[in-house]
Amino acid sequence: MNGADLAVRRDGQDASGLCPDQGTGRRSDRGAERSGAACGGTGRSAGRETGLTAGGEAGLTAGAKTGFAAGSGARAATSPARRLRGETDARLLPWLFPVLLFLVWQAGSSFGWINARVLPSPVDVFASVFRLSASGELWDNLRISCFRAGCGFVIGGALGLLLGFATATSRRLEILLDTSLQMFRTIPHLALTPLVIIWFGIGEQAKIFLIVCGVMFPIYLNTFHGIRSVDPRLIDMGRVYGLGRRELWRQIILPGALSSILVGVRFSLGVMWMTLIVAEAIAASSGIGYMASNAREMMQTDVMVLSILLYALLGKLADVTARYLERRWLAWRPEFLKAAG
Amino acid sequence: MPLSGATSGEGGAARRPGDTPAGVEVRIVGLEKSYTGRKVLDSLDFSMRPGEFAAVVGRSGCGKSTLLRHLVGLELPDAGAVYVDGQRRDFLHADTRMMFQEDRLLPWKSVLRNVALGLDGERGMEAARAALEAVGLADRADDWPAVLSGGQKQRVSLARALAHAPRFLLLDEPMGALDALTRLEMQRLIERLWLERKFTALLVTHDVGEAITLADRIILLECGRIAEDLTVDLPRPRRRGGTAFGRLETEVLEWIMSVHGGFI
Repeated sequence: MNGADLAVRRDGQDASGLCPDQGTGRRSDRGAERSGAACGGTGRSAGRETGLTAGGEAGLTAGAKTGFAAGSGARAATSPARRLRGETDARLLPWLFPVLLFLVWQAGSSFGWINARVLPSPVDVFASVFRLSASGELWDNLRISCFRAGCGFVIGGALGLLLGFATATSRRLEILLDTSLQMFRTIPHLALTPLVIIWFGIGEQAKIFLIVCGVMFPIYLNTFHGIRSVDPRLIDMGRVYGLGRRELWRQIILPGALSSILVGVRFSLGVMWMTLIVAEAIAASSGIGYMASNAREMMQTDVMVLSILLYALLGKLADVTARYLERRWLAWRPEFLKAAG
Repeated sequence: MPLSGATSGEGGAARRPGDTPAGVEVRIVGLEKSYTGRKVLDSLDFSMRPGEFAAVVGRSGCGKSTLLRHLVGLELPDAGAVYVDGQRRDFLHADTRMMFQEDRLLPWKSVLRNVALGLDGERGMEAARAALEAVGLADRADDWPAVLSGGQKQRVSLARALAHAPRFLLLDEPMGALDALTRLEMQRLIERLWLERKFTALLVTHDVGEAITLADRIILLECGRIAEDLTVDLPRPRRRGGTAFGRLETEVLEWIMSVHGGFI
């Protein structure tokens, strides 16, 4: 009697979950489903990305992809027109607030409500872009800032990743290193700045060292956590199906830890820019942070505002890149599949 | 007496996937295993003929899954041994594959790549495609597992086992989480493939009807020992509802309920 009871109950539970899948999955064009999956995610956030990378190639492709997503989405939806309008709304709506803000700001400056010494008008800020890029100052500073950020991120990221792999794989290394790493992690790395200036002067090493310190720990923690939380049942399965140690890593452990590692990457990108701003403002003779603190001495508020906007832009660009990687490498995740509609 | 390390010993290079392998002969002698002082397997003895389909039934926690983990080589016994074709087996071997209670598909691999797991190169891909064909899911090869239904996922995991052309297939309640209709389909599929390929199969299940439908022999496990061992000689294909089927089902259920008294 037990057996029969069980069967009936399970039956009732599962039937609801099962049928929709079979119905839609089988019949619909799988190509469309897949491309929808890849692009739907893009479509969601394309609005924010397109404008910020405008002019660049990224902006173009994001636009193109959104169009495609709208196309494949329309095929699947019951009411294509409504769907299309919804997507356009989603793309434009995030711009409403920034555009309004700019208009109010410009109006405030034009009508003399805001003192130009306190806050320059948007037009003045744009003018400073042309002035500084014509003299080459802007590009030189931008280049050196990006170089520092990139070096620090690569070195710090690699260290964090390696340490994470090491401690997650070996109990002994975990016991040896983890406590110390957790202790170092709690030190605000910017507190090292005075010491770092004494060690390295105001050369490149100082800035890169600080960024390495900041970037390493988020990546370390997330790598460690990601590897430890890979489902042991999948590892058992891999062993039963003949995977050796190396293949287990390549096919199961790394892909399983990847989403967590990418969370660390996104977090540490934020830390990277923040560290760079502080380091460049305190101890540098070039870079955007230097440009800003130099402008302060000469009361060039337009350049100061420009520097802040540049940081915002670079930060956003880094984040967009990380999100792109997520959608590309984690395309199998249900949240990205669902975006296909 | 723990044995040499349970590392993977892949000796299947000579056998190509796609061959129709005959099943292995299995002998289990005095198998014992305890976890934290509790005996899960208690001097277990039994053997299986090549190509035999046996089912293990019993209450939860009676050691069914543990037995399978020993047979596949994921666990080492405290005492006793498993012999496959006369050879002592204490490692993972290429001729033995297992289907788990959950599908255990890798969500980051396409259906086809999941099936091809552990197989090399183009030949492996071919074997995987053929196996997908055999379970009727060739058209879903490029999909992510996440878009499949529960039944389809279990069929993919069956294909993954078949792609390795196993000579010994262990089935750890693979249909436990499926709804009744899908379960029936799955049972027929497994029976058909077993009849075609004649591997030795050992199925762990809670569902007595399922055991009678599929198995030549039903083993009742109780407290880590074999309490009953019954040969089923109904003609195949077996369908529920017949008198002989019903009588057998009642008998086996009586056993299960009688040992240990049940709750009531």
